[in-house]
Amino acid sequence: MSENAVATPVSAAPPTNGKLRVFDEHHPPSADLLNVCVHCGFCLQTCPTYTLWGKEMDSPRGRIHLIGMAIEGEVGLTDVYVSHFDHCLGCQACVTSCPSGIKYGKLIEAIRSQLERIYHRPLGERMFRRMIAATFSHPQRLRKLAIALRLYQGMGLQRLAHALHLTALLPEKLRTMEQLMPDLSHKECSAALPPVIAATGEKRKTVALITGCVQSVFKAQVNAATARVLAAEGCEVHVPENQGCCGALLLDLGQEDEALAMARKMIDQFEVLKVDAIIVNAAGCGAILKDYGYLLRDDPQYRQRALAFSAKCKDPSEVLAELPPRAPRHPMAMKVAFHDPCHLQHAQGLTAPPRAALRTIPGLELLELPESALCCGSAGVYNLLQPETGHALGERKAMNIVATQAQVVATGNPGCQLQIAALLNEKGHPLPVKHYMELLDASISAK
Amino acid sequence: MDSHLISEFRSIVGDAGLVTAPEQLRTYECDGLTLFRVVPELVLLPASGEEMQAVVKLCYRERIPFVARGSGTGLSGGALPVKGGVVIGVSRMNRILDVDLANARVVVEPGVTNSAITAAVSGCGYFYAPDPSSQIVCTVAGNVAENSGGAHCFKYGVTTTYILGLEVVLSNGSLVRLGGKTLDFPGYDLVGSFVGSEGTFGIVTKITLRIIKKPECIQTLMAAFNSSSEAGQAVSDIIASGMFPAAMEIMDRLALEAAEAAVHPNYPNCQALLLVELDGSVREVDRLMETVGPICTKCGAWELRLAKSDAERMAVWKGRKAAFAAVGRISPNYLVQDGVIPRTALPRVLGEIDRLSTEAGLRVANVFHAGDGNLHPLVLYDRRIAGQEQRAMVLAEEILRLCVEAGGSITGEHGIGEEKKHFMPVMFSEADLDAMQRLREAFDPYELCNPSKMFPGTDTNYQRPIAYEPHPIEKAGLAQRY
Amino acid sequence: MIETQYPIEIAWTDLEAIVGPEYIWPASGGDLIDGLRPAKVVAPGTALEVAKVLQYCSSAGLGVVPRGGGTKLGLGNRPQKADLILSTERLNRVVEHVWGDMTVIAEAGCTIDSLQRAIQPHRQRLAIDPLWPEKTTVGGLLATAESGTLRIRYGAVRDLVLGVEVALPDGSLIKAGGKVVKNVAGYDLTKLMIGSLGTLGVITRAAFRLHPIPVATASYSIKVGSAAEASKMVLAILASYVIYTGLQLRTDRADRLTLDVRFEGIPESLQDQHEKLAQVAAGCDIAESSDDVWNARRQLFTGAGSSVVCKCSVLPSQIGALCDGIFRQVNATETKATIVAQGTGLTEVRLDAGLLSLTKTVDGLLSEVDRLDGTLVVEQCPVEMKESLDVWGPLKDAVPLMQQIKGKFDPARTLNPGRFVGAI
Repeated sequence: MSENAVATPVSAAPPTNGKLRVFDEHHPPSADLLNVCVHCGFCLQTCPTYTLWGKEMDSPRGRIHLIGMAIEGEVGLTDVYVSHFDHCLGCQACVTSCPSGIKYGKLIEAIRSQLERIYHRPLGERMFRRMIAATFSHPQRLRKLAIALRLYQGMGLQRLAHALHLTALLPEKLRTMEQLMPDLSHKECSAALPPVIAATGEKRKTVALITGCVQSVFKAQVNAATARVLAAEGCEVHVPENQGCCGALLLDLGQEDEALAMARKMIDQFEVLKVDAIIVNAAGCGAILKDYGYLLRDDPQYRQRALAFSAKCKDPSEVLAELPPRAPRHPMAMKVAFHDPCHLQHAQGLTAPPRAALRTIPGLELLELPESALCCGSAGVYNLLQPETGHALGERKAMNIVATQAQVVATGNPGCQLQIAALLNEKGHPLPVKHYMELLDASISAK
Repeated sequence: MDSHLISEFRSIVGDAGLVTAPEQLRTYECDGLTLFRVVPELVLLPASGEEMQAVVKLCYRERIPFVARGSGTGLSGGALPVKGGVVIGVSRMNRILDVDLANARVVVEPGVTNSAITAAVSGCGYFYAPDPSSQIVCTVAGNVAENSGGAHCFKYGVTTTYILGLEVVLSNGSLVRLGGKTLDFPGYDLVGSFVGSEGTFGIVTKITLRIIKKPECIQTLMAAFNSSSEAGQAVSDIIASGMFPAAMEIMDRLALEAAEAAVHPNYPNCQALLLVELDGSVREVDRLMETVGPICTKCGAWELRLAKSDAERMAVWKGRKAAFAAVGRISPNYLVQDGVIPRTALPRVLGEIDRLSTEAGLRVANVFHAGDGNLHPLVLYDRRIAGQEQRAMVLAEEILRLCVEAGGSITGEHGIGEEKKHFMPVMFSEADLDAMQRLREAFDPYELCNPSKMFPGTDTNYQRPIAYEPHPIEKAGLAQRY
Repeated sequence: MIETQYPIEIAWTDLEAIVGPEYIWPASGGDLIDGLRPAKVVAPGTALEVAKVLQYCSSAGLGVVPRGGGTKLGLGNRPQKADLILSTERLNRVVEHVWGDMTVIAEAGCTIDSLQRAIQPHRQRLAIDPLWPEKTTVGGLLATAESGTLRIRYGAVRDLVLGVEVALPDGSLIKAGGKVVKNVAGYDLTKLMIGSLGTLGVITRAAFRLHPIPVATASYSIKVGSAAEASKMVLAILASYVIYTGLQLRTDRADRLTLDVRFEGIPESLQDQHEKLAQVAAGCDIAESSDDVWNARRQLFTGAGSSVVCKCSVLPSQIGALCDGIFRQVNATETKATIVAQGTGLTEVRLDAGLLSLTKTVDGLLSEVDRLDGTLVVEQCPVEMKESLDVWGPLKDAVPLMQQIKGKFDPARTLNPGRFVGAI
């Protein structure tokens, strides 16, 4: 299938045996995956929506039950039905807490793709989703948006709008976006990286850096810090130009074909590089990049290449874990609360490596957050699609951070950075929210 | 249900506390036991004691039966809805209301999870002792309803030992306080009667419970054996020596496989693993551990491993607690039973279970609280294979009968609920059951609280058993089932 | 002393047919209950006989007072009817001691001492220390749910009983619970029966969970100079790693109190605990004391005459405030008070004075206890006081429910009518 083709939605087949056929034939949610669930309920208390609302159908167990009902043809895609899947953040906290090993991530992926193809959303919603997909997955377009936003901030318009409470007039979704907007006055914000950064001292590894979309436009300093730290630890860092998008946000929106197209481009661009590892410092991207093998399982031309590609993708902390620290670190006496991004702790199963990396900084006191398994509410573009829920979770995360009396928040994902910073601000407790590589960078370069 | 009535309920609990759509109600059709399913008319999730009372009053006015639900993790179908009734969930009443460390008392709303209580007091050196394996998710209200136990109840006792007071809404909507913060309230022990009543006496709106001081030192020993009976012998010998461990658990080969796959606690690779936990003062525990090791070795243990740090201990227990659900990894379906036998009968009963399972052609994984003889045989089967589910149910029942014959009980922790109600006559005479019914009538003369549970002869109203086999004519597409 | 004889004509022959003529005899002066003299004493030989006797009495409208060792006949309000004493003296066997399971089953009339002697050869004990173990029976212990000094470590009677067999007034013999430690089959009728003062049924046997007899024990006493200091010390011990099996406060004056602490275990353990206690009670005089201090409760009940014993239940943190409150009241009424409080907050106080003073003091105590959100029960008092006093204290909102339960189990009010809470 060419990369521009879109699958034709398959309408519901005529009912047989009095039951509905709900899903189309392209990778419907699998009964085999579903049957792993023994209905024990261990997933309930780590699920953000169950924690907020206490309703079974907004828990992983309830959602699995709903999927089962649809597979059996006992229920159709009513608005109510779909709403519970729209409520799902896809944080996969349930995967971590499930003793039976349910692959919930695969199920929600399958559902989201199905819904995108066969469920009819209201026009406004469809346009909003299309707008997000069009903007956030294209670094070039984001850059243009950033210029506009920089003007908005730099000319004092944002300050004025807030002072006059004009933002309250915006529709909820736009208001949320406005609130999440990072401060773009930092001059490093959009500085481009050189194509190769040499290793300091004897070269221990050769790596490539994925620059990302939101990350490269709004948090370019994180990429710079990542490159510097890796170089300081003896890595030769390659930064290919004109990188595309990993496709994570598109997959979240259920736009499977577009996501796969992005994946193929990514593989094409990176597989020619002879590197030991491909560094992904945005957890949300890391999760999908490591899963390209599964995503492209139907594509005979890409499947093996995807597996090979994914095997090389690493969070920076994983690479640092393999390299005994060489660059001297200067002490940083500060209390740092580490926020685990969902896609790092649950989807990638990494909690120890980033902490181990931070612990190499002398004087740094690492604090654990209460309810650490709970998502901050960013979850890709969730905080834009479900602003109220995203906000409630962000609030909860902010209050948990404040309770630890941390001075700095460290994390591993741009979405989390933006969300947590915005909510800490809103609650009147502004704190620096940094990527953990930024802290390492500061310690190594003694800034 | 009548739309006016739904509006009345809505005016009490709001949209946040109401579940009405058919597809949503289906998600409440069972709890941790999926064998029986009934769709409720409505689900209500009050956020406060006042809302709870108002909801029950309305149910009383309309004579609508109701079933209380915590996190729906129960294994006996206690939260199975009643046909034509509603479900009242406590998940939104989840605040800890008061923590009094000096007096070791905590007051909570019913929807607080078991481990949340320990989490709230553990920083100050206390914990809430009854620790069912589902403690990270089950609610205290559910624990009260079932009189839940857990691995540490051998030394520390079950839920009823720790509940001092309850505020209860009875089926007629009246609010009554049973017990309180102080001990020995004059009159009948209504708190003790209520605990374990499986939601048939009323719904709890407030719970006053006791916490206890964490011991100075806790150590967990893992001993690897070649058979469950050797491990069981070690347990008997440990008790005979006069020691009183905090917990003693045995897991057999199948259960170990499952737990290892789920949690990777790195258990020794053996036929039966004994976990012994000792607690007390540092000196005492060190001294006692010196005795426990040799006892295990004498009974055949070929490896001993000691978990001393908190992290090590947590990994060991996480595996044990995940064992049930983890069995989902090695079998598509399973039935877990909950029989109790006198500990001295352990070797014989385990041997019998072996024999019965071989005859039935099904595997049985064994996890049990060896200290108090509470067995959890997990009967593994595949529902897609014709007849296996039936055979599994029959085997499970035979195991229960075995427990009663051996002088034990048909349920140590999970309760009677829906699952074992027809089994009650195996353990109790008609006069015994009649006496229980009298107590029930005193609390709930209107038969509104969870009316179809616990006693045989009540309406078996589950709509469809999960093992539904279509008739050949249906399979051929020539007919449809309504 | 008021003596009343009931001039009721009863068909004693029917009862003789159930138990045998040699096991029914006229009551004498020693069989009085709050001044009431029943007509007869009946001593059934089996649980079934107990059930049949109760059935007969129910249909005949008689009032029955079950009796074990007779140590607590004065507990409760005056019975409205007391036609017959049902004695459990002949049901005195230890039925089964499965030492490997650490459980024992004993009949209701077995004394606690005989029970302990029977299980001692396997170095096991029932971890309850009632006031008079030589007289208190299994049935009596359960019916009154007496609380001793071991409770703070080993739990109350309700926590140590695994199951009971009970004869009900309608003639049925039921069992509740079982003989295994973990058992949630059916309702916990065992808990309902324990502490019910024989108003719902007559317990005929019980299964207990046992503990090992400790290798060694040691007791220490600490003197403090004020109730506030005592309270602080109690809380400090409760919050520490000290593993006490007894924690008790004794006093008869507000400025001199003695705190007793007991340890049990292996010798290394006792040494360790003593050191820990010394840290908690730093600066205080800790003296080794004899086991006898744990019998202090007995002294509260000895001697007849004009005295009252009250059991107050408050939070452990309020023991000091309670003591101060007690002394406040007794100083106002020239009463002598002797207090023995357990670390659980259960406090027994003996008041010695003339009748009028006693009445005033008890009233004062009720308000002190009410202020502390606790409860007060008069365990023993001159019969005259019972004319105007409800020994169980003010009624709480669960009483109607209790009355319902009574109505279901003993509709004819055969058992101990009027003695219990809410005049059940």
